[in-house]
Parts: sequence; C-alpha cells; structure tokens
Amino acid sequence: MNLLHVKYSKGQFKIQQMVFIIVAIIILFGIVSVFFVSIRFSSLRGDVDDLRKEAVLTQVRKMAGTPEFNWISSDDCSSCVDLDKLFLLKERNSYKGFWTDVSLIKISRVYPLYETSECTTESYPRCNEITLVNKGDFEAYESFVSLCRFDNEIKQTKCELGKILMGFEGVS
Amino acid sequence: MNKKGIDFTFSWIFAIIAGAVILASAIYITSQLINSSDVKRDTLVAGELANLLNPVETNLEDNKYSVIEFATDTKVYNECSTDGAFGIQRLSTASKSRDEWSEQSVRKSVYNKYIFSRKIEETKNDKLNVMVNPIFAPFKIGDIISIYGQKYCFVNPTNDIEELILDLSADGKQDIGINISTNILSCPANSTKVCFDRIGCDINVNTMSKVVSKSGKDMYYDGDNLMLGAILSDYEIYECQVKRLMKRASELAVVYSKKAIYVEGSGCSNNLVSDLQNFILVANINNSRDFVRQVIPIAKDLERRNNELASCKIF
Repeated sequence: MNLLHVKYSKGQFKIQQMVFIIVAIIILFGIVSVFFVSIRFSSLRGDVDDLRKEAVLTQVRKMAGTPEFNWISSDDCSSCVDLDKLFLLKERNSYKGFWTDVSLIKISRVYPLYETSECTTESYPRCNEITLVNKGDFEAYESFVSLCRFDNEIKQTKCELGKILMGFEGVS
Repeated sequence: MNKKGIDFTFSWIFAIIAGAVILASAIYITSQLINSSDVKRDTLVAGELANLLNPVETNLEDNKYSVIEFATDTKVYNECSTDGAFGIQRLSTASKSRDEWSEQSVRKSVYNKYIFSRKIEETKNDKLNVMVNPIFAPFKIGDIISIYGQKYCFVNPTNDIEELILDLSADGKQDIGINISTNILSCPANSTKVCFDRIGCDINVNTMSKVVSKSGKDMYYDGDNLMLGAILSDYEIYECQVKRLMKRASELAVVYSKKAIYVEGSGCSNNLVSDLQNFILVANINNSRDFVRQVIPIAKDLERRNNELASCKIF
C-alpha cells in the first residue's frame, strides 16, 4: 500500500482560509438580504392590502350613485338610494351576474327597524333588508345611505337611515 | 486500433450532445416560464384596470378626468359584445418587455362598464387618459368611460365642448391629451385632428346632423358626452357600446315601469307606464342611427312628462 505524501505550502493555506472567509461572508450577506427582503415584502403586502381596502370602500360609496340605486331627485343627495327601485330590481333575473366580483349586495335599514327581516311582496316596505346578491364567502364592507321612497301615508318623499353592505372575495 | 482515442471521442461527443440538450431545454423552460409569467402579469393588470375604473365613475359629478399609470408600455385591448342581457365588456392587456410585446393576456369580462376607445389603445409615456361622462336618456343609464393614449387636436369645437375641455384640464394647466385650436395648421404634428362643422381632418364632426365621421364611417350621437365617446372610439366599439347602453336603458325602463305601477297604487298618479313600455320596445336598436332617430325623441318626451310630476317623479 502506498501512502501519498501531500505537501501544502503556506500560500495554499492562505488561499483556503480566504475561500472559507469569502464563503462565510456570502452566506452572512445572503441571510441578511433574505431577512431584509422578507421585511420589505411584508410592508409592501400591507400597503397593497390598504390600497385594496380603500378601493373597495370607494366602490361601496359609489354604489349609491349607480343608475340602479340612485334616488330620482339625486341632484342634491349623493347618498340617497331609491328603495322602491331596489325592491323591484330584486325580482329581475336579468340582473343576476350583473355585478361581477361582488359576493354580497344588501341594503339594510338601520332606523326605524321592523319585525320582518328580508323584504317580500307582502312585507314591503315594512321590512329591514333587500338582498340583491349573496354568493357566500366574502369580506363585507358598508356605507351609510338614505333609503328614500314615495310614502303613501304622508303623500311625499320619505327618507330613512340605512346602509349598503357589499361583500368581496379575498380583499386582503 | 487506438482504444484510448475512441473512448475519448465518445465521451466528448456524449458530453457535447448531453450539454446541448440540457442547455436547450433549460433555455426553452426559462423562456416559457417568462412568457407565462408575462401573460399572468398582464392578466392581473387587465383585472386591476377594470377595478381601477370603479372609483372614476360619476356620482353627482358631471364629468371627470383621470390618468392611469402603468409600470411599462402597455396595450389595452378593448372588446365589446352585445351578447346577454347587458352585453359584455372585455379587457385584456399586453406589455412591452425587452423591446418585445408579450402575448395578449386572458380577458377580464365586466357587464356594467362601457369603455369607449380604439380596439387597441396604447399607452403614451406609460400613461392612459381616462375621461368619464354620464349618459342620460332620459334617466341615468351609465358612464361613458373614454380611454385614450394618443393626442387629439380639436379645431374650432363648440362652446360647450371647449368649456368642458378647459374645465377638465383646469383651464389648460393640466395636459389631458386634447388641445384646442382655431386652425388645423396650429395642431401638433403627431396629433389626431378633429374638425367641428368643417371637413379636412382625420375626424369630422357635424353638429347639425349629430354625426361623427371617421375612416369613412358615420357614428350618430346625441349630447356632447356621447360625441366625445364617438370621437375617441373605433366605429365597431362605439356602435357596440351604444347598443349595450340601450340594453341597460331597457332593463332600467322595466324597473321604472314597475315602479310607476307601484307608486300609482300608492296614490301617485303618473301615466308613464305606457310610455316606458314603448321606450323598452324602441330601445332594442341595431345601430347608433336608430338611437338618435327612435330612442331620443321618446326619451325627451318621457323626460318632459316626468318633470311635470311634481312630488312623485319616477326617475
């Protein structure tokens, strides 16, 4: 059996030492940069979530101004919705799927409240809710509005406090 | 025979072939991954673009102007279909990277937006101008969302249009991509010239007969908002969007006619039901000419009669 005699010079040792140090520095920098990037991304994700929530809230507030919701004399009321129109809209099958990316659209009365929850032909207008879309699985956002309609008893327009609830999938 | 020589040659040939195969497949897989991520990114951009158009819609405001900034040069593909109860607005994008346009992204479909633009609208300095104008006939039907990247020069526009452009551009302080000029020769060279009540421009508007002529085709309009939509759109997109708007108007008229019956039962006499039902019938139009000739006269009559109802207006 032959034994191999390898001779290492001083210079070779130095090179080896330097390589180890360089590798260690690279690993250290790698760890630091991974740490930095993860922190940066988490704050970026937070910013994106905030922006999305803001956009969603704007969409909810804008809903009262759409042709299907807006109150007839909305020249002076941007947050007034036409309750009669919304109740009649509920019956229209053609509007199913009209609002894409929205899992919930509900108009809810805040005050005064009646005994019946969901509005039907029998209970309207003495009811509390009109649900236009409900697909389940959503994150809901709301905006306060005035629910206006022509009131038979007082023979003029009557507005009550309500809110629009809209649900979206995966906002954050 | 030199065995060592044969063995050496084979290993080299094997190494070269195997290396080439590995390299080629690596390049192919990488380029595929880049392409698919480009399409994925552009699809997200198309989706975000549709969402970005929500806040710019009008509420009580008359008209609005906004700018959408993109991360890179982007093409926006506008497709319009009249299928279904409300028609479909489809949006997709393609972006420029490494001096090449990516594939057209997956299309995002929306039903409640009406985008008036050319079929392919390209950003200018990574920006697109967005002008939003509501449309009433006789009730609010929706918003005309005009998207444009190129420059326009309006030669001798009507006072109302001039006022509108000055209003949106904060008296000319903000560049909204539309210049106003008294002479066609004063227009910037790279702009699309729009003549009002005269000919000789890329687009000619006849305000008397309410026609916008572009590439030899006539688009009929009623009101300044629809006129702007016609100027900034391709013929096919304009005609399709007007039909879609009328589909929505028809659906809204159904709701209003039901409301008219309902409030009549509550002691609010209006006699609008038959007129609204007539409106529903004529709203089924084939082109913008039908819209101006058939729908507008009935819409104006409905508006007048509705305004006469003091306390119980229907719309």
